[in-house]
Amino acid sequence: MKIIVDDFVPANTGWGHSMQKGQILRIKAKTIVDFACINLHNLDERFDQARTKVYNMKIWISTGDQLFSKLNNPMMTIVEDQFSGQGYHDLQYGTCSGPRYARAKEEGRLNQYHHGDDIPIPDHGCWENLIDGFGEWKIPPELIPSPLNIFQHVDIDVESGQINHSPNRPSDPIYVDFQAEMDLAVAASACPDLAAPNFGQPIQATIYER
Amino acid sequence: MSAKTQTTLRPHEGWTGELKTGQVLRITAKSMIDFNCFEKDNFKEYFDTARTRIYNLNMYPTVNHRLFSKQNNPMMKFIKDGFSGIGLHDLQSSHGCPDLMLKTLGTVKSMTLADLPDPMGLFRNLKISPSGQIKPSPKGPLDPVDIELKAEIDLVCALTNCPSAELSASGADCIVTIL
Repeated sequence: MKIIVDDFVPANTGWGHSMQKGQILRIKAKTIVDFACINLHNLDERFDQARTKVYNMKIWISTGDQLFSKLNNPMMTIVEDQFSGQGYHDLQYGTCSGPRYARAKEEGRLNQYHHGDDIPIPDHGCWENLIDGFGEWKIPPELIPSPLNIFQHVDIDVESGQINHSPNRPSDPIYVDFQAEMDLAVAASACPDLAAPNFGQPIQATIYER
Repeated sequence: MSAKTQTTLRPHEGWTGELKTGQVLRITAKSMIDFNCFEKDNFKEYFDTARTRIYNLNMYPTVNHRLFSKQNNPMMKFIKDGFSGIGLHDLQSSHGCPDLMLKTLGTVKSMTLADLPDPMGLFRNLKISPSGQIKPSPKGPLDPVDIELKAEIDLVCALTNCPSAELSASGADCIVTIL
């Protein structure tokens, strides 16, 4: 394994890097990581939740599934998923953000995160962190893609459609490996994760070649 | 409520129009309709499927749900759903007829596929299994039913009457009314 970059990402911060086709990104964490990617040579081609769900014909993706762009091209393939069997990664949520938490507090909905109404709310979240992560490429805030939410297990009743935050997270840091199918700008946010038993934790982001 | 405008769309036709805060958009249809909306003077503030799912904590939009923007603000409220009990509207998919939506929106603002926000797929009735598998399950109402959406800000709305055989029970006219 040839390590290209191996970065520690503190809790509730963003990280970004470029990577070449064929390289592998390893995201290692025990709480939520919001993740998105953009074509390095065409910044208008961005990861897209809907295309990814419809291409794979499923709402939860794992090993062998591909991340797709809005322009309908494969961007990455999940080549290893240590969360498989423990929980699902999410493609329903947008990013959390300072305004999102402020609205939840204003509407008395913080208790939906399982820690009650009195928790302090962050002044920023994954939206702001992904803006930072993609900072080198100056992606406008409104064009930050809704992400793949790694390790964000969500309880969904497929009959009623009801979505509930879940505290189901890895007990120890585990990883997911993504192989680039094109040259990419990638960004990840170490989510403040208000639903996790001990809130958001730092993550490790590694790009390597086999 | 009185009708301010009313337009009949044939299959494969699109519509766009402005709604002021408090006005109601009634969509009377039986086949699949892709719907988008934008803040009137700020297209960076657009309807967002993910924000909408999570604000309502539900995958299937229906009465009393609110349509939310990318920047986390309320845009519309779902006040009538004639499809309730028959099938489910969709917030998982991309457009069935993206070229038609781009052409329709193009009368207001030039936009590319890359920048076209994902739609609310009215009457799409996508079946999702407990394991997360997605399967189109065309199941429109036998007769046209009403969907009503109330504007919470001044908006530009756009929709396409998109009766793809794979996704929709049948092609039929759609009546769009602003109340």
